[in-house]
This record gives sequence, structure tokens and C-alpha cells, in this order.
Amino acid sequence: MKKLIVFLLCMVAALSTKYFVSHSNSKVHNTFLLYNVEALAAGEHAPITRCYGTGSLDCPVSHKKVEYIFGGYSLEE
Amino acid sequence: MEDIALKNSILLLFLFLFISCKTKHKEYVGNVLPYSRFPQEKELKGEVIELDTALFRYPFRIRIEGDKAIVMDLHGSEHYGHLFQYPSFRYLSSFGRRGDSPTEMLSMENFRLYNHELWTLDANKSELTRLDFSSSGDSLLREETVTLDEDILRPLDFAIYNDTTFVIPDYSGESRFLKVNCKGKLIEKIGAIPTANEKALQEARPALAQAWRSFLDYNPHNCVLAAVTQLGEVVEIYNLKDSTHVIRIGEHDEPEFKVSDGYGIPTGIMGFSDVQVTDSAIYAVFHGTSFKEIARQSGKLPDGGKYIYVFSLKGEPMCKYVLDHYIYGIWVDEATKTIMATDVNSDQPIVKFSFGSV
Repeated sequence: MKKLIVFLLCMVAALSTKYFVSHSNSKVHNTFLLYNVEALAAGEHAPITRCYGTGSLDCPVSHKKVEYIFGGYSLEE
Repeated sequence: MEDIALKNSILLLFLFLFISCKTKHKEYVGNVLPYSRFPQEKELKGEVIELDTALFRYPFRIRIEGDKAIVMDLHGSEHYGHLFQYPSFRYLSSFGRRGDSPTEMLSMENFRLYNHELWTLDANKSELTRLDFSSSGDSLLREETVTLDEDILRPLDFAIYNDTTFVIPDYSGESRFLKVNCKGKLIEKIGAIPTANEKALQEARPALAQAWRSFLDYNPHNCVLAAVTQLGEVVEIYNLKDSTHVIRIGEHDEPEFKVSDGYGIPTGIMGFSDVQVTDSAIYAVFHGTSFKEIARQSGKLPDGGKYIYVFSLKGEPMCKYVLDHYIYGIWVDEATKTIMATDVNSDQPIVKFSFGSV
């Protein structure tokens, strides 16, 4: 049983280390990945932000008030 | 005995592992307080005010002063503002003509009444304009235009702080609000966006500021400035007399957004659409509709909020009113216990609600 506890403690240490290392690296990779995806999706000149309808949201492209704004990627990972 | 202790230890280890994997931390400072419930919840039934003219495309704001009511149309086809006799709501005149000549407006974000004068904000021209009532009181005449400094990015709302100073939300994301003098010059930056999204603060501050677009109101009697977010559910209360501030975050959390071309694209929910600081409380219209649902229904959902949230001047949740109409702008009169509201879905867009004591 003591061996099992030692094994589990080792597992916790290994998993924690792996989590922290991979988490810090994935942020960088994912950010670059998101920029690349956006660039590929946008093509050379076409903007990917679109505004629809009549509403109260301030469209960042046309500066009109619209119902819905579409486009983009999420900063959440 | 030893076996039981060992088993308990193993269980604790698994529990620790489980919690470590699941917990997502949001780090806010001490003056950021969550809220989820109101001690009182009441239903209010609205009375539709019959208008004899069909003027409005999107009645966004309403304010009343003495025997005059002023309603602002966000998408006005000829004029953005309309003046009515109050309480009869007899139409008197319109102001803020739409157009691109120097005396016309490209947009109207909001208007304020101060010392029996009216100020309007045109974000597309970056101008504040002062209008005065004519001698008969039946129309509003343009008196003065203040062009805002070029370093004030896209002013989407404003409040009048005193005879010489305006407060405008900072759209750059560098601070929360800007104090601007009567010549349009930036004189002071106040606060910061109270987000826990460190990544957005570092990498996408302009998009963050767009997502945190807020509606303001300031009451010079108690020096309370309140701001509510159009996305998410955040209420900020600044006491400009004693320099204290409290941030209340509801269950829909802070504004959610994506980034596209450097812009903040709303996800999550539509939050608040208007706020008023009275002498004793803060009233805010809340929507709570998700953008997924808005997109799915593609224009079929009623536009507006069915809730008015009431907070104390210290930010304590006091009462939640559930309405029978979807509304956008409000004018609260605590003396007569009435709320006048605008409904963008109806050809008869002025609704009156009566409420008892909060």
C-alpha cells in the first residue's frame, strides 16, 4: 500500500509538471495558430467582420448601429 | 486501522487531482463583487401611451423635464430627436436633423438635459452640441458645437459632470473614462477596465474596450457615476466625491467577445441598454438574450430587455422588475413612482410603468 501511495505521489508530480509546461507552451502556439487561421481565412484583402440588421450594437466596420456582428476567433483556449 | 487511513489518503489524493483539473480561476480585485439574486422581485404591467404621430424607427432614449418629454430615435430617418408635451405626449417639434452638412448630424448616441439646456452627442462627427429651448418652449434651437479632441476615440456615450466638464467612456482601453472640458479637450483619465481577462488586456486592448462598451449616467446631487455594459452583466458604481468604486458582476459575467480584424466581436449575451442614477438608487434595463439565439431567430426575437434591475448607490442589489414589454431606454421618476420606457418593437413605443417603493 505504501508503494501505491509513493506511486500516486509521483504521478501527481509528473502530471503537474506536464500540465504547467504544456499549458505555458500551448498559449504561445495557439495564439500564433489563431493569427494564422485568421490570416488564411481573410485571404489577401477581404475583411471577415460583417454586421447585420438594425439594432444598438456599434458596428466597428461601418460605424452604424446593428443587430448582430459576425466574424473572428476567440481568445479563449 | 492503518488500511482505512491509507484508503482515505488515496481518496484525498484523487479529490485533489479532480479539483486541480476542474477549477478555473478568475482573479478580481477586492472591490469586484458578484451578485446573483435580488431580495425582491416584482412584476410590472405597462400602459401604452397613444401617440398621434408615427415618428420612430428605433426609440432609444427618453427623458422628461417639467412639462416636456424628449425621445431620441437611434435610426431616425429625418431627425434623431423629438420633443413632446408631457404628460399628454402631444408632438411639438423635432431636432437633430440627419445629414452631412455642418449643422446636421451623422448620428446621435445620447442626449442630456442640464440647466434647462440639452446636449447631444454625435459619435460619427465626434461632436457635442448644445441646444436651448425657444422662448415658446415648443422647439429646440442649436446654440453651440464642441468638437472633441482627436485623441478621444469614438465617443459612444457621455454624461455631464459639471458646468465645464463631460465624462466619456474611453474607447481606446487605456483607461475607463475620460474627463473632457467644455472646449472638447481631454483633461483627465479615470480608472481601468475591471476585467479578469489578462490576455485581452495585454494582446487585444482596443477589442476589449469595444466589448466593454458601456452606458453611463451621473447624478450631481450624490456624485454617483454608474456604468453598465452592453455585453455581459457588469455594473460599475463610482462615487466621484469620495473616490470609491464598486463593481458588481452578475451571473452572465463580464462581456464575452472574439477578435476579428482587431475588432471586438460580441459573443455571450446582450446585457444592459440603459442606466439612470436617481437620488436614491440605480436603475438599469437588462436584456440577457444570447447572441446565439439572436442569430438563430434572425430578426424574429423582440428587441430589448424585460427586466429593470435596481441597485443601491453602494451597488447592493435591491429589486428586480419583470416587465410585460421589451424596452430599451428608461426615465425613472421616484417622486411619482413611474418609469417611462421606449419599446422599439411597437408603433406605439412609449410605455408607462408604475412601481411602489423599492
